[in-house]
Amino acid sequence: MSAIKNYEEFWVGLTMSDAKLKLFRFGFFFVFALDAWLQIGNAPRYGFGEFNVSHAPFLDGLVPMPTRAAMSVVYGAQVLLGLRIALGGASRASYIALATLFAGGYFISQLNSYQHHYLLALALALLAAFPWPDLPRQKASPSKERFWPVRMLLVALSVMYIFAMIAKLDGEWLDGSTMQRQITEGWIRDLVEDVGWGTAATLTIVVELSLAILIHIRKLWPLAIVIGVGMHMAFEFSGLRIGLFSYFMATLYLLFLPETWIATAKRWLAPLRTKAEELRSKVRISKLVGLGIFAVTTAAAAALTQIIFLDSVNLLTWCVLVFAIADVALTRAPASAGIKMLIACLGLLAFVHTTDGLRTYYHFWGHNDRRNKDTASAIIHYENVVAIDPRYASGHSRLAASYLRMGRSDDALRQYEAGLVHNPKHFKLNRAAAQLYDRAGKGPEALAAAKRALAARPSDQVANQIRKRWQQTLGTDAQN
Amino acid sequence: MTRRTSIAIHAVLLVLIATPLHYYLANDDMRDERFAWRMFSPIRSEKCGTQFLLGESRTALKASDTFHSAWVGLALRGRQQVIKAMGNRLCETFPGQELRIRVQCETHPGSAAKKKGALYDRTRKASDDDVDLVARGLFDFCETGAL
Repeated sequence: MSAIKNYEEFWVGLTMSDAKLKLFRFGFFFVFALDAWLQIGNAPRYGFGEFNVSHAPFLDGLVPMPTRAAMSVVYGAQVLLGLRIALGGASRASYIALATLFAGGYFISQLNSYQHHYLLALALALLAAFPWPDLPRQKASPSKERFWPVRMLLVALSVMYIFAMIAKLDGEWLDGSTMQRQITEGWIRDLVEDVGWGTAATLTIVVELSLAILIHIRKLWPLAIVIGVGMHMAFEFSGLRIGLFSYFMATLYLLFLPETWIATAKRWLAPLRTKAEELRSKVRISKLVGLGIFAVTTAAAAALTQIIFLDSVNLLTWCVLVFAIADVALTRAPASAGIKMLIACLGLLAFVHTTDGLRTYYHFWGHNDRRNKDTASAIIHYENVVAIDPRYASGHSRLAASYLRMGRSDDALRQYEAGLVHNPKHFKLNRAAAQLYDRAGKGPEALAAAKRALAARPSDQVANQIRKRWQQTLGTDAQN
Repeated sequence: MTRRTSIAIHAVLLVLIATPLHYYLANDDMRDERFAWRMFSPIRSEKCGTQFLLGESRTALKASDTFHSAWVGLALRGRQQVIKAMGNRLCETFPGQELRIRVQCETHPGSAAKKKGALYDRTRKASDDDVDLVARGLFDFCETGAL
């Protein structure tokens, strides 16, 4: 009988403070939103050649063909919802909508086969059932059982660690050769080389098994944080191409912060909270003013999305309007809903301007057109690439090559020159510019560009031929 | 614990455990490591060569002419579900023609990559210890639908 009670207690007895849940939510959903934005670069893969294979065979006949435009809106909507949730006070429906949107975007195609995105799909489903402290219209005395999804998330992590460990019980892993092949750069490689590849590989197995257990022993959570975050950050700095997986894992470890640390932080922040509460009590907003604030902030948020240089931006603007209206309907807090949607849109704009997501989006779109031999369309998208990032050498190079394919050699040369303004030592740009100058009979320019190309790659035959030819010609001219 | 909570807990728990377990117990494609939490596994670094041979002359088709490079990348990892879907698409594109699919994968990371073109060598026999020939029969895929 007591075993059953202990078992039940294991599932429903894990409680956490509101402050910790809010801190975790902010960290997790912020990283989620950033990851969703970075995925936009992959959107052009979808729908290419009208070919797709979903993660589950039965889905292939049921779901529509995912397209670039649709996926770009899905990712944009994920960013908006993720940031909106991170800011707090969202309704349960927002969490469910985000979990559904993400699962749909993931399971619809094997083009996204990142294991951490599968973990995210599971985590979002559980987070949709989390006992968030500030859900609108909650019961006055909620049941203790509501904490089971928190425990389930920890169990999901344990299952992941255990199976990751099982996968490593293999000769290729244990002798360190797999790790040696995968860790390619940085101080982590030097460190592991000192420790020994076999030892480090075995240690990884021990750490994964330890974490699977430690995360269920509350008293040992500080140790779990040190080991877990340490291991995931080591993965991050080892050159493995795992997206934001390490950061996601680090945010999950926020759940293991001891409550005493949270209480101390709350004490430090108490004066700020008091002032905020005083301000809130002084400012009373009538329903009409609240609706006015909602209208203005939502309109501003919708207008802000229009600045984003994305072909599917109109659908994204509709998402802003629909999410904001649904938020008001569910939370009955119009001023807060409008302001938070505006902040979410500002966050989206910050991602747009501080990451290369949009540049990658147009680059891959142009790449698809080039593969489809639609050079005119490729030119449009490569022009977008250099408009977004004039410093991007590869964008100038691709655009110039497309111009050349259309016989527009003057435009091509201008692109190489534009690229060289920001990348004067770039080998490909210099060599291609040298070839065009050479063809146009511009000797001094061809010679200078060829020399710059040779400085980067001294053995290049094309650049050497141009250099020799123009050195001889210009030398003869000078003698004459 | 209420009955509803208990059902929810055990249903989710079943999904969490059964999904990766399926890889070890019931998966017929060991190169398909989705949902198995096999991050950084040795299989992930093994390369496969996938050839689509059309007609009686067995002309090798260039997969990247029809499919996005991301799909070609998955075929190069030997993921059979994707290779079969690619085969089905090629059967539709070239109706009435025979299509043979040859999938050769390294038996351990780097075993064949050191030999240039080893994965695409048509004369290679299944017994070669550095390469595993997945499609052994080389029968008409459009007719049988199996690798």
